[in-house]
Amino acid sequence: MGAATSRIVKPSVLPGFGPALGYTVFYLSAVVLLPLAAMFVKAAGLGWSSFWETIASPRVVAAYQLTFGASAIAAILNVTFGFVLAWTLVRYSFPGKKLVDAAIDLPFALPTAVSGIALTAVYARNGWVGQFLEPAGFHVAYAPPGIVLALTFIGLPFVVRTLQPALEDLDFEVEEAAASLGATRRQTLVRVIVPAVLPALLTGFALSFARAIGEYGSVVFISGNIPMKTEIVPLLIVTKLENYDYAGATALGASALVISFAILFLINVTQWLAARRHRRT
Amino acid sequence: MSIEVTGISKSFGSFRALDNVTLTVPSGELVALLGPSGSGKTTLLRIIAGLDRADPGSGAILFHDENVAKRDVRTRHVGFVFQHYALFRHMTVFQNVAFGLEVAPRKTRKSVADIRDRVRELLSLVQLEGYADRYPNQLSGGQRQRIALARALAVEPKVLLLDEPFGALDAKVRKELRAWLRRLHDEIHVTSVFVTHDQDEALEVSDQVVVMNEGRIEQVGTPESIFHHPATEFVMRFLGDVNQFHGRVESGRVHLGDVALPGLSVPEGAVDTARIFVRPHDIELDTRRNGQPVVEATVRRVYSAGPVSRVELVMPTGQEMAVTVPHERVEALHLDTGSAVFVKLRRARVFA
Amino acid sequence: MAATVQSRPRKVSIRVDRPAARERRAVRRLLIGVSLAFLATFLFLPLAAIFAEALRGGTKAWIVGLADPAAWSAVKLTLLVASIAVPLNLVFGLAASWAIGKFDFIGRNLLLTLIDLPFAVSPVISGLVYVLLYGAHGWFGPWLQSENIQIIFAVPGIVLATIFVTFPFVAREVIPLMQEQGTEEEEAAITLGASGWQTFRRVTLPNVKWALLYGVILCNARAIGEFGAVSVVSGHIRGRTNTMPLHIEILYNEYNFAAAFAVSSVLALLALVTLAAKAAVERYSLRAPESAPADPILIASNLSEEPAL
Repeated sequence: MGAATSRIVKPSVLPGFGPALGYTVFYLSAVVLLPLAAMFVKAAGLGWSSFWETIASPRVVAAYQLTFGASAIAAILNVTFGFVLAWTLVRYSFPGKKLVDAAIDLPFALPTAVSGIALTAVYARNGWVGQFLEPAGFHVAYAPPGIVLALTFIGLPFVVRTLQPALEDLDFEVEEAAASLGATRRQTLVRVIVPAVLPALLTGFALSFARAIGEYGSVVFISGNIPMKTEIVPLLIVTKLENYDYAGATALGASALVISFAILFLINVTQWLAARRHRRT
Repeated sequence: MSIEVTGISKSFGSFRALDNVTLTVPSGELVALLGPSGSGKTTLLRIIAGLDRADPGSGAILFHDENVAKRDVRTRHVGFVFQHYALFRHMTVFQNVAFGLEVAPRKTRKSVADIRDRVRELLSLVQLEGYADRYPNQLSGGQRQRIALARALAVEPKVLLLDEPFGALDAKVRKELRAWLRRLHDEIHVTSVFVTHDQDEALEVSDQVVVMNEGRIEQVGTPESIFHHPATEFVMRFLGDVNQFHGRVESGRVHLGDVALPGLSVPEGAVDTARIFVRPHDIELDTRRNGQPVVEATVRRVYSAGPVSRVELVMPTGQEMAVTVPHERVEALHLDTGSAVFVKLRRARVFA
Repeated sequence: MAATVQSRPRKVSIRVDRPAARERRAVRRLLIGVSLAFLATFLFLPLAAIFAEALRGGTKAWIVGLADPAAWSAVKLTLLVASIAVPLNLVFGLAASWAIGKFDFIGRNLLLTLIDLPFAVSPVISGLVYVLLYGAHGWFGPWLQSENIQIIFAVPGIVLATIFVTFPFVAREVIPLMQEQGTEEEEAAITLGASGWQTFRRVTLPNVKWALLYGVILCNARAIGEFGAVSVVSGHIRGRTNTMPLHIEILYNEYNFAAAFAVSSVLALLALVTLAAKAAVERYSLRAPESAPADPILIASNLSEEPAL
């Protein structure tokens, strides 16, 4: 450890700080920071007008609208059902509960391409569920609902796993206090439980949303990929790359990344604010 | 509003938390449920509140002669103060205290202005007027406890129930709050029951003490009667330090060693042996025999750091004995390790 | 920053009977019903469909789908990629958690945030950035071409993209635990004469072994299953740059559903194994006495048994 590092690091008898930090920073830079920087430098090199031309083209705007819309619906579905799921898993006991709890992570463990073709198989016209939906005029596969379906699938664990610890942390006594003060169960839910887990709900929503707008594998099989109709942003990036439109892909990638980072930043601010205000002591 | 508990039992699996408990809390009194952990005191309090249900088929809870068994905690109108306060941490102090008023059914709900006035009034009652906009995490433990109390009182409960109200506080704050709770009760006179495992707290604050052990009530009485006339061995042991000796019953008298102790009647059920209980301050020491039947002992150690001196004795039988006497007495008798002393039991209790 | 699925072992929830903090029986049943119905339509049906489709033509067709040489080379490539990416990220995770978890330095939080970055990046973009760096039109493209080194549309690109998307997994699991455990035990070991390496190996590593294993399981699952990033950099050269997920895509687009689902069923089985392993680690780490602070005396006696390194 040199004199320079000893000024920025608190002294410790433990060895190895220099090499460990050095390797961490090197590996991080080589694997993550340099490639990301390359994209932003490339994007900056495009110039504002050509960047804007790409971003504002109707096909890209349509893809953005679809991606954000479907991701938002999926995140809302996940927050709603994820809350119910997390609640039943934390509070109730029922046969097969452990299995259900473990299965929540399935979308996380299952390769996205496999999820994609599996969802398509179930919800396509001749699929187990699709055969009942299609005659009723409800198109899931190769239509926007299919995209929402896939995005809900891959986002679910984020919401449930964020909510579970927050619900476990809830003190029974607080709910009993509300009841002893005359609150009905519904009043307790709305006024005590939901506000207490609101930071976790928001975080779950944001994580699910952030994952959804970047998702590719599970969507491309079920979406049908029709330009202007069922084409999501990540797919458009791939399409542009396959057509050797590196400038377009770079512009699109940079814009998507900035949005992702903004969401991530918002999550952190939310959590920080929540932690500051309702810190448990 | 009086509380009557008749024949209540509660089991958790095979564990019997309450065993046929019957108790009356007179209107307007402050009653302590005192006992070690696992004695069932908190369970009893929670059943009175309606937070837990007694075993089906066991007795009834009556508030002012009305059976409230069918009413759940929402409609029983009890104020409950939780051991860890259970304040709503996302609400300000004001919102916490106002909660019970705001969730009342529309028909009986007060106007916003009335709620505000009532909260102000309560905050001044618990002496935290300036804290309305703080969050619970910005308060000290003692302040949180007082807010929890104000919140419980906001709905004008007919009875106030407190679960280990000072349990989570440090010793100094505990003592202050104890005296404050007593004064507050003298002011508002709501029938109150509080749970504690601290005998000093129970004896100091309450009008009546209910001593509980293993799901049963051992004794009910004023702090004085409980302390001076413990009904059972458990109460004797629980309410302070006590020496226990193995005595013999011979020709209708209780003997300690070879000495027949005067003024002690043989308890029921005692055949050959009896157990003698004496508090350390109920023992007199002397270096002369003084003519009375006394027990001989040797001083093992004298501890003089403290308000009184503590003397450890060993009797010829090998039994040990702790005695507290004023410092002056130790000096007057020149007590030191190895001194031979004569022991007189001023007041003792004998159990079979 | 919580950009990952944080499902680290939680405290066991004990069932308590508290009527005032509970819903009516009908409500409870309804909620459980809704949960199970939701999981059935979104999770269980698709999972079942994989195996049903894979075995639609009987076990023989299933075996045929797997026995294809292209499938076999996809399996080998997938395993090769995972066996490079996982150890590299494991070493990185340990280095990062040692620096961040055991030392207090300026910029620690920034570093933590940067480590999480790949979680916020779309898989497609993860591939794209490498194309822009090492592709024919990328920063190093011309130089690589002149040196006759191919990264994009070749195995190195697939490995790099996989490393990128699985980058944070091990670090994210181990860093919080090391932070939580503090430095007391390591300091105790040092005062007892242990070298830095001994301290790390005998004190630190055993204390984080479950979190480490947990991170490796997650990292491995993602490395094997990654699709978007790998798809962008692979070039889809059959038998050479196709991983199993890419192979599935090709089969599926060729309407060879039986083979696509046969390969999928293998990956699905692997996912189930991953979930089981994950659950097992969660359970063990709750029970493991190792997660409790180790006894310094035991550490000392262990040290004296083996010669110093």
